[in-house]
Amino acid sequence: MNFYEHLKARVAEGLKRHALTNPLTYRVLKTLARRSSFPLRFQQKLTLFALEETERAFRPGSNPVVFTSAFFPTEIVRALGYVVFSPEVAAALASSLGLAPSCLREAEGAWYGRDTCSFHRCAAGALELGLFPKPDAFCASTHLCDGAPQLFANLARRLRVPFFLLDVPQEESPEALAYVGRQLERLYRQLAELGGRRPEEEALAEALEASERFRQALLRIESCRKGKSFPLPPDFFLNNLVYLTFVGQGSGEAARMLELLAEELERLPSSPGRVRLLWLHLKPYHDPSLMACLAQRGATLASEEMTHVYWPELDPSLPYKSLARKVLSHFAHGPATRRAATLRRLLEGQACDGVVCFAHWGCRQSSGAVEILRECFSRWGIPFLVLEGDCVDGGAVGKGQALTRLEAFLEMLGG
Amino acid sequence: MLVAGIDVGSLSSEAVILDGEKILSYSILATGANSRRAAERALEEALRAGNISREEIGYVVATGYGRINVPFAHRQVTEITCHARGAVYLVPDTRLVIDIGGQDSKVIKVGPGGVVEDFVMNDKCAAGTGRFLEVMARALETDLEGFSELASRARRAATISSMCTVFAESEVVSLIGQGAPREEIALGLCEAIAERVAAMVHRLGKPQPTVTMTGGVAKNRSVVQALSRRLGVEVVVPPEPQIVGALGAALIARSSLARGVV
Repeated sequence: MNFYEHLKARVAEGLKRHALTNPLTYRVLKTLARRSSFPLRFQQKLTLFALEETERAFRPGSNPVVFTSAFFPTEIVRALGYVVFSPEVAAALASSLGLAPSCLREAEGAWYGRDTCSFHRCAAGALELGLFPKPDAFCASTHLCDGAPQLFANLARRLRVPFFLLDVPQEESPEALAYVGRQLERLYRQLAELGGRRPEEEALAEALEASERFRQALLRIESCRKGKSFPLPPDFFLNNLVYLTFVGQGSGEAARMLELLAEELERLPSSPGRVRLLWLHLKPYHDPSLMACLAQRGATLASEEMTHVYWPELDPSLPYKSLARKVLSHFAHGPATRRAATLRRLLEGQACDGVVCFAHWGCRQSSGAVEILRECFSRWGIPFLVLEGDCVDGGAVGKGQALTRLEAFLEMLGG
Repeated sequence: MLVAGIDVGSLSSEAVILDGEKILSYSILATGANSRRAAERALEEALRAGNISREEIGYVVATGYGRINVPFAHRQVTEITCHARGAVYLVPDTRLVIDIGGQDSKVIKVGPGGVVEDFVMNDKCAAGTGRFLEVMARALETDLEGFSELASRARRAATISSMCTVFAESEVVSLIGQGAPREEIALGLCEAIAERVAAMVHRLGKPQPTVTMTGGVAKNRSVVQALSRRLGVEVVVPPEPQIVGALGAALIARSSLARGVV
């Protein structure tokens, strides 16, 4: 049994809430992780990093805990030494550990509608149930996801903690760049005040240097993956890189881990692989059967839109401008045709055979673009599968049907 | 050597036995609660109907939602691929297959030789499928055959606004209470199914002839007529639309055996 399965089994056996929120639990788990074997050293380091971050979040009197939305530039939080906590990532983990149903029920009882995103409902429920650490502030950006800012604003109001909003205009222009940059500068000052810190420019420059190393390592990993398949689970990169991308940018430790992964991949034997897929959005965290089906048929995720480098080089001497450019250059921000063009480049770069768009129920940003994406890929003659489902709420989907669609798509691709 | 295809669906299970390209025998029976047993019974029934011994079967392909639970199958293939193969075998000019099964609906765009080019399936809800019709037939106090017969006698269709099985059943009960003729309610339900399936067809573009309909619901003439009208093309129904999935599976079994795939 690997480390993750061990943890899942303990949760299934009824690991109590107070244990999940006790820093001591994470210290014990770190010891266990140090003694466990992992296929790659990177995975061990990543597990220890995640446990350390969680322990810090639950440690009383620790640094302020800032809840950040998925696409918020965490560099300004990391620069202050604060704990970055992503409720969306935590919701995915809760789902994979079988904790989501109780969180979703709790959220429903608190008037969160069932047609809203289950990442956010699950997070709201987990917070109500006391499964998450106590936040000292919420930070959300308006680009891509309209659910997170509203959820965060509501939670901040209920918990009487500050809510900081980064307003991102739809178009990338010099004015938009300056506007977002000014907001980031103000946010950095406000966040510093929250913990009684000084907004040190040097610390911010260091966070950007770490973030740029993170970006360079991601590029190296992308290059390693070109045309190759590794003896790793099909969703290896989706699982690990999404986590780091959402919470690790601006952390020197996260950058070092990605550098280690790049080194390990360069040494790892690889093969061309049978069916190579470009995977859009995320995956159902509650149900491993789709990924098991890919593994069984020798198919793999050769590329994921969520893990690729879309932003330009960061300049630590111009932190606010660099981060503003990063936010505005998001490939899925703005018209859906921009996303489609990026995906085509990814598909061709990684020699993918087809595209699977996991249309997460409740995600207007991703699912709303399905028709345009489908039309673009059809015009380019690239097989495209829309797999409707839910990343967190297992009760909202027909598992067998999703599996049939995926299998039929693989059969269509000759896999 | 003979081959067999087994289609284990949510409502019915079918088996087809082929000798080369010739259909030797087939069976159709209710799946019931045990899909594994249904697969065995379907094969046994087809063997018995064709007076064939089990040892003569050299290769078996299973399809349908219960495909993973057929221990004697050499291979599992999805019903999407199987319906495409089976439909093109029976109607060679087929370019689009509409399969309305027990718990889902599929629209499959096919190329020459029955190769799947694209497909769509209904979303998570089972509205407009065989299960939906079964519930509605029960609300109208008849069976599936009787339901089809009722609809064919109607001069006009009642308006059914909900496609949710639970809400539609309640609507049907309410219409009966208001004195609406059962025939008109049955036709209204057929029209509602056709409207939903036509929307799925349009997701794959304008339908090009020939459109072939498979699955148990294809036996309902009113649904087929309503679909033909809404799509603007004739919808062709093979003589026994319910065995098309199993037939496709048997054809794939034949190819696998010829290629020596184990």
